[in-house]
Amino acid sequence: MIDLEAVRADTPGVAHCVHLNNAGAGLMPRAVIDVVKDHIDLEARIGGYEAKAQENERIEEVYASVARLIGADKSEIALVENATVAWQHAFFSQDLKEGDRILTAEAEYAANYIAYLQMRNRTGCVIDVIPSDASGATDCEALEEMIDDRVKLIAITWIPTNGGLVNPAAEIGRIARRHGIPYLLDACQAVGQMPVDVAALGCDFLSATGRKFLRGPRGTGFLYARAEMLKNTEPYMLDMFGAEWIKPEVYQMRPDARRFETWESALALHLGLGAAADYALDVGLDAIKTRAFPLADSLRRELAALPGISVHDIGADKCAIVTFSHEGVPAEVIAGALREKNINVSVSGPTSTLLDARARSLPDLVRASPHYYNNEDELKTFLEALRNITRS
Amino acid sequence: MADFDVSAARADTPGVAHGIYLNNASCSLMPRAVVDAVQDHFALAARIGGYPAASKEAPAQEAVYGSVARLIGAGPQDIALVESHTRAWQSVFYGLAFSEGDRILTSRAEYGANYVSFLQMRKRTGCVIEVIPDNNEGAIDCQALEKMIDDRIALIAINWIPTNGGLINPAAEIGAVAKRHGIPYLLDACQAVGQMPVDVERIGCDYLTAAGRKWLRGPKGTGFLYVRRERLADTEPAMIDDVGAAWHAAHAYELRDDARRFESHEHEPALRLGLGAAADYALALGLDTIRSRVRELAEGLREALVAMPGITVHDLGSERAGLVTFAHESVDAGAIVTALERQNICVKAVPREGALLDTVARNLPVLVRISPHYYNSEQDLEHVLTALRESL
Repeated sequence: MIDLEAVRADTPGVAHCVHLNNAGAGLMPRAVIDVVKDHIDLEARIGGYEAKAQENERIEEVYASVARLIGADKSEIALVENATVAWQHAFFSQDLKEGDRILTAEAEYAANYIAYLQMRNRTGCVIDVIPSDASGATDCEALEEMIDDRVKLIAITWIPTNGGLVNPAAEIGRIARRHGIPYLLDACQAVGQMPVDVAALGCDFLSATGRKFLRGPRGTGFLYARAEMLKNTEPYMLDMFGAEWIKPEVYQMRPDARRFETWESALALHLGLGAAADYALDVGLDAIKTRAFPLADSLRRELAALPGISVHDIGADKCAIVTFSHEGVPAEVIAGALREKNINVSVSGPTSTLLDARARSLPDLVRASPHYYNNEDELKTFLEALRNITRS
Repeated sequence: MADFDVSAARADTPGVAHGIYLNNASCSLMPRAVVDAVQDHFALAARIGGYPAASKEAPAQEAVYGSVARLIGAGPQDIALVESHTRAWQSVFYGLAFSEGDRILTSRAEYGANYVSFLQMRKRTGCVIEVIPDNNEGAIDCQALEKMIDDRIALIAINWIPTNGGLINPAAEIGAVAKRHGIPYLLDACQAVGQMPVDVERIGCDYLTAAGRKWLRGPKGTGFLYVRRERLADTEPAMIDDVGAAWHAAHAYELRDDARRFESHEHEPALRLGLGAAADYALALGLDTIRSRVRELAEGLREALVAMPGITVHDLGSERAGLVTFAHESVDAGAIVTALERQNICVKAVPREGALLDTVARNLPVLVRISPHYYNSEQDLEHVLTALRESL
């Protein structure tokens, strides 16, 4: 059970807005804000590297915290500046050749799909989309049938950006494992809103962001790379942090996942990410899911009852992302009007998940993503405002 | 320099109250304007949410491109803001298409991170790495460069100012050679930007990369890339996401038509605003003024060091930058750095692999690097010299 008053008291932002954009960037708890602010101040006082030396143990602890969050070992974690960079570093390190197949999901995120297209242009590999089942999720039977020895990567988004869908990540993992196919899981919208266990998922790489449901600072992300995968994965790009320059003609990669990192980073933000992971672990990921998912469900029910509103979430089990549209008022107008009342939502346009948006003929969607710290009053405020906006 | 108001610069720098900071080539002390820009935006994001804060400060963020562009004589559309110098450099370097036998020309004092990337690219593509000889002052020999040119040269990539000393390579002369032969020219200006005037038109580079945290006095976790407009058409970034390209059709993407195609979707706006504040601060002081002051301090320091028994100054070149490096005949660099640290004086030991080719060629030990900036006082230098005399 979450102590709602306590978590709200920990969140300065709730005094200033109704924040229902946790799938965009969650409101940071005070523990996160303080650690970032303090480290920047420390850097200003004693210098960047000197601050790093002083806080070295805490910086190391961030790896352990992030690892705990997803059931990994800290040697399997790389901290980077965002989820896209984490994902790209895993993806572009795959040695794909002409005719090799990448299997992906229908609701794949635009940034990833653009990278597939770039890889296709570069190597001649093939992008194949796994069909969705009747509920709208990735169809694992269809996936099984698609497998042949040319499939060199399965890369899917666990929870797409444009709705409540939760793809069957662990089932896909079992298929990938059975066939020995590398499996890259984009968990950007999953980490922080529900328990994540890389062993149960069976993924080889998992990428995530700090700023969304995990409530960390913007400009943070991480990559998990399974220890066994590291043995034969060389990052697409290396610098003197990922590898040592041991002889004029020889470099040697780091043994751990930090080979995907670069020398320079914003350590204040890393510390904030660690604080966010610790905070989520303290609250409890089961407890978070148990509060956030039903909150979203009740929102869906209320929205469905409003005249002119269509809820567009697909999938059997739905997460804390709710998307809808109104028959007469465009999503941008709704989001803008809500913003004037200090209610934060976001708009998910068709190009962020182009294949799915085309298949379902989706318009711009309003995305409301509550989190465990939101309360029922805030949802009422949001619904009331929405009624007024769509009535006129 | 009589007309430089060092006390004003020091009053703007909270860090000077806490010790003698002479490690500006690693990471400088931020002026208050930078610290405030970062902290204010971060506090705003904590209050109203990350994306609402970003849209509220969108004009200020947009202005950062203008500030950075002014700093190097470019246009705002020629600038990409990224998370580090390395990211900037890598996104260009790894995006270039090398074939077997293509030649990369670089400098002997090339930075380790870049050289590791060259080695990786050689392994991947069979390209060839060749080092341009030095002239008798230790700088890149442009006549030798001219003689090396043939139609297999795919890239000239050099450090303007290496990490391990005061050398300033003849970047503009190299640019003239590159231009004459139409060869792409990637200039690592990591140690140059912020300590002296930089003008991409005069230099003639196609790509220029820099960090925010060094001489520019910006926050850690910031860097930027300049791309010459004429090169943009034939430069695809190493890894593209949905900022770099638009996904309009299922099987095609369209690259942005400005340098931001090299950016990635997510970033921390607070740090970017800090970078902009750092650029504005440097521009307000004047880069010519900064260069004169830095040069005067560094040259004074070199003179005093040369006069000290047992000390050898290792800086090359006829005109030298603010990086002063030396070694003692019997006390190793690590011990010197530690002894100074005990007196609250911050300098740096430069590892041999920072510029391994140069280290091997000149048989250099680990060097002590003192890098004074304009805000350092004459007393700072007297203190470090006294401390050195006492500890040696």
